[in-house]
Amino acid sequence: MRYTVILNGCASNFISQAEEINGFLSDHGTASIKGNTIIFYCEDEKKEALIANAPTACLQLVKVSRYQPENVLEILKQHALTQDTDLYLFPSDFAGSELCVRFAYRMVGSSLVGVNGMEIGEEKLICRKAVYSNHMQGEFVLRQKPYCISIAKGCAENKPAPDMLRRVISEVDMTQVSEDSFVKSYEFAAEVSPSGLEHVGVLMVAGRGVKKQEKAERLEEIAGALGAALGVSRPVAMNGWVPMNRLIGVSGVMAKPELCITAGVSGAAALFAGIEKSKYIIAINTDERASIVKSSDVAIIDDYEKVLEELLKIVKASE
Amino acid sequence: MALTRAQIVEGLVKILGEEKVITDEQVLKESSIDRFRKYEDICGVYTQPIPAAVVKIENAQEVSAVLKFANENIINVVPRTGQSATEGGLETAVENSIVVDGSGMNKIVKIDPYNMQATCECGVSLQVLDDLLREQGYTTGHSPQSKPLAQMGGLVATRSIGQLSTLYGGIEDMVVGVEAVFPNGEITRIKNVPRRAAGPDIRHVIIGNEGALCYITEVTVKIFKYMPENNIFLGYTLENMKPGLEILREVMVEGYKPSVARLYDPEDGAYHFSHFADGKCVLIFMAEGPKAIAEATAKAIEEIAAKYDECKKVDTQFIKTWFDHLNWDPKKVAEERIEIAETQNIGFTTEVSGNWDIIHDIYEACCERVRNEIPDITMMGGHSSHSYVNGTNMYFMYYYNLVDVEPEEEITKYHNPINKIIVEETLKAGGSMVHHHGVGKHRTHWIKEEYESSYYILETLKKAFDPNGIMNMGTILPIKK
Amino acid sequence: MKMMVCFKAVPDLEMLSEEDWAADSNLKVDLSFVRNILNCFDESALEMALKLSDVSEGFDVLLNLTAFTIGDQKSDTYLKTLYALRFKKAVRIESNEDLRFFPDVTATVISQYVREINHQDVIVLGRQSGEGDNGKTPLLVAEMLEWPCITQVIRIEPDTEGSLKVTNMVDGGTLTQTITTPCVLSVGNAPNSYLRVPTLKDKMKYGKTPIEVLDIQQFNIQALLDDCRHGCELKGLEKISHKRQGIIIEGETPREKARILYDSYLKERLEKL
Repeated sequence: MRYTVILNGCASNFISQAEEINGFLSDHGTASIKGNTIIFYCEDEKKEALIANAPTACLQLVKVSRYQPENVLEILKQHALTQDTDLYLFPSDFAGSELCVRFAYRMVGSSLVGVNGMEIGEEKLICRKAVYSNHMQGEFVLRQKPYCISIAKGCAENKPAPDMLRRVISEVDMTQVSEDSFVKSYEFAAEVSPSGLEHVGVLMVAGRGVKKQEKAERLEEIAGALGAALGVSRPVAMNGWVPMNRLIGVSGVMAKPELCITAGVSGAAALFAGIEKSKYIIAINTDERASIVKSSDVAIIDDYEKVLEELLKIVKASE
Repeated sequence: MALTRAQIVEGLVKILGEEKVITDEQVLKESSIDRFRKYEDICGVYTQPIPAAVVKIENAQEVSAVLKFANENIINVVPRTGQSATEGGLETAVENSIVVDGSGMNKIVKIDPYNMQATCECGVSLQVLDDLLREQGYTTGHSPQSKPLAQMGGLVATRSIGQLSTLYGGIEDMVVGVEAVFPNGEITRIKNVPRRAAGPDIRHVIIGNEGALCYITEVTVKIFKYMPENNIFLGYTLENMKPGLEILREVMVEGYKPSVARLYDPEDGAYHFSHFADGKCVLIFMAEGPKAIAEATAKAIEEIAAKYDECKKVDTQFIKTWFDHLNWDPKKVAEERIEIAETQNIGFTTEVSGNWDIIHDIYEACCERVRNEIPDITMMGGHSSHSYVNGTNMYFMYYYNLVDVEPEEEITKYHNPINKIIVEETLKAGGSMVHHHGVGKHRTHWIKEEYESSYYILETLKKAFDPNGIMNMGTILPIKK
Repeated sequence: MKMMVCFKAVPDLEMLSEEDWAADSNLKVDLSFVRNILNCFDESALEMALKLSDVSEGFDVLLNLTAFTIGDQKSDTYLKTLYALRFKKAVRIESNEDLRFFPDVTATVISQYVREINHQDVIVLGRQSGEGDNGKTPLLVAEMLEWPCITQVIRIEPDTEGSLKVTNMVDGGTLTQTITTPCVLSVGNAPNSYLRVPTLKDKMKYGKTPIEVLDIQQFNIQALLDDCRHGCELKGLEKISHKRQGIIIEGETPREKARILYDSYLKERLEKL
């Protein structure tokens, strides 16, 4: 058994990709099996940093003109970079969950997206992942090699790469590959203000009780004053009142703050997935029967606006 | 001379203290309307006169003092509790009104299982009361869609009815006694007895007054044994409304009392039942009560339904799941707001009633006219949800796309013309234009036609109890120009 | 330009109570008695196609929209609505098969339909649906057709008859590309994308257009199902419990409750941070 990690060194989130894979690997006792990492990169000056943060000692570097999935897939398939690997590991980000499925198809292997646990078996890989919008945990058996899995967002602690000697066993320049001729032109806009919600210490989540743009703005102020960052449920994000990168849950951010305060959140499983790793959850909701109440450590049954305004006064007074 | 806003607020602060007098601008704006103007609310455009203050009262004495102050200074008062009104009853139609909010009067005074009655203040949420009763094996038997929001004072003031009414009746059948405060400050209590023949039943001056005669501060209602383990659900699909109404009639006429008896037309049913209705009408029953009665009721209904060839039975689990998710809670209300803002598609309801011989004609005439005469209609349908031995109600549901309208034009372009069709067709046929939401402020133009010669009694009540016209003006009776 | 939007009607999972979450011995969760809704990503995809159609004329592009679903008759109500919203064609692949954990089968049927029966320039699909949460179907459709794929799409704008301007979320930002067709677009978290509602008049006028119904068996899915089972099979399902202590703070007023919360539960925790 041998595994290969595939990372996108062109993206600004490289460190977090490497750290979550590293966390996942160490949670799953893979120390005894051989692994290597393939890193796609486009800027030479960043190479050293990429190498230093890689989760395995053994590395292969591929230079590309930019991260473009059609090109990357072609390179992975065509260029024998990947011989005798049984397991391919992809990070949880957009690129990872796309490449995992498409690459498995091209390799005639099997794939699973959003894996939160695995066991390596005799001629099979057993994987676990949340299904039914986080209502149930499913166990899957992958039988067709190579196994390609992308890990679930937030399922492992981000763990900095161990201090070890790294060996770059191959380095290739693939900037000439052009499977992307269907793209006539493109323009990349870097995220203006990354939400960073994955890593905040205190998170406030606003739910369906938020009825107006102004209410969302006021919550933002209150959150700020309490030292918290603001995340929202899907309906609030869909309204365009806050940037989409504030969306908490299965299809958004999976956060793991020390403290999470929910305001007007009902506790739908898809949203709850995004806060279930919180150390401590405080729920404020008018409806005592909302599922968030049972899923919280402590709850206040009342109008969240009133409670938060009062809480703000108390916090300010105590400063 | 009329008091200024500042003087009104000052007067109220003197009576209640600063804490209980709210003058926050946003609260005042939102307190100028109810769900009838939900589109204006979503758009943040408030067209009604903004009240001078919202006051939070805590006992009948405070209500009495506030009403006296208002009566002496001719200031309009809008009583409210749970704020789930849908017909404009909570709109502050007169400049510088006082909204008297009783939601803080939320003590359950007494639950008396021996005499099977519960007494509570006006601001007790029905959900809270019923949950508490259910824990002890009892229920109010009252279960309107607004249950998670509505409070006891408002429910009695609007002659509310619940989904289980066919067995338990409307709120008027449940209220035993009541405490109310009149504009002159008089606090009146009607005692809790099983029945009496000591003159007219004066409870009915208070029940359904919609805040236009008095302020309800305390209510005593009957309670019933809660036996959900005996509930039996039955569901059917049908091609047409007519035979569905015939089945409902037969069940009632033969003397059976299911708690739920509802018939949805295909359009209205599609929202809830698309996963099994397949574009047909849906007929639903729930039998409850002691086991033997529930079983006998269910058996009889099955026999009656079996006589109609086109009536096809469906899996009861469908009906049970639907029943468990019927109510509007704050979550659903918030979701609805977002969808309206997004899709520019909005829906309302109008509920009427009629005897068995006219109800189908009313249903057909209203649907036909609304579909043909109102622009941008996306859905027009209805259901019967409360049946009686002599007739049933029709709850019309309609949605429309808002095309080229300012927020304030929505009501004049769409909602009022639809209401007009439904009310006119119903009155023409001999039915009642209001089944259970209350008249509010937008069906008052037809109140004389509704009452016919008995309008004299209604008008006299208003003159007698509210001679200065300070109680929720424009509700039930139109404001005289 | 021919564009096909694939969608699925899914049970409204929020209507289920805690005890409904149980799998039988065949690992089936019975959700048939719950009301259906459009899968949220698919709803975005449908509205996105309609918005594109609204503005395409200005670019002299004629957009021909097809709506496609796999399922039983229950989905017809959505297909009729889509006709009323001026989709040119509505297709349903009649199926009673449980395909919740077989995205490969779904993708095969879609790609085969497009390859052999109704050629398209663009296929738009939601990125995943909340039952299987597989997140694979659009990607597999692209692979099977050997078309390029753009994932996490949040906006589609017209360009020319043979190209589109597509905005999607990528790690670290958004990408706006002008691309030539054919291609597969997988829709992600797009803001402002509830499906519009057709008027009754349009429902009467267009909603009765016959739906094209094909039998799933003509796509040889039995063999496919066995194949997929061999590759990746669901072997277990367990309810996820979200339960915590759920202590409810008792108090008269919001102020009092906020005070208790702060003193007993919040102060120390905030100080530690």
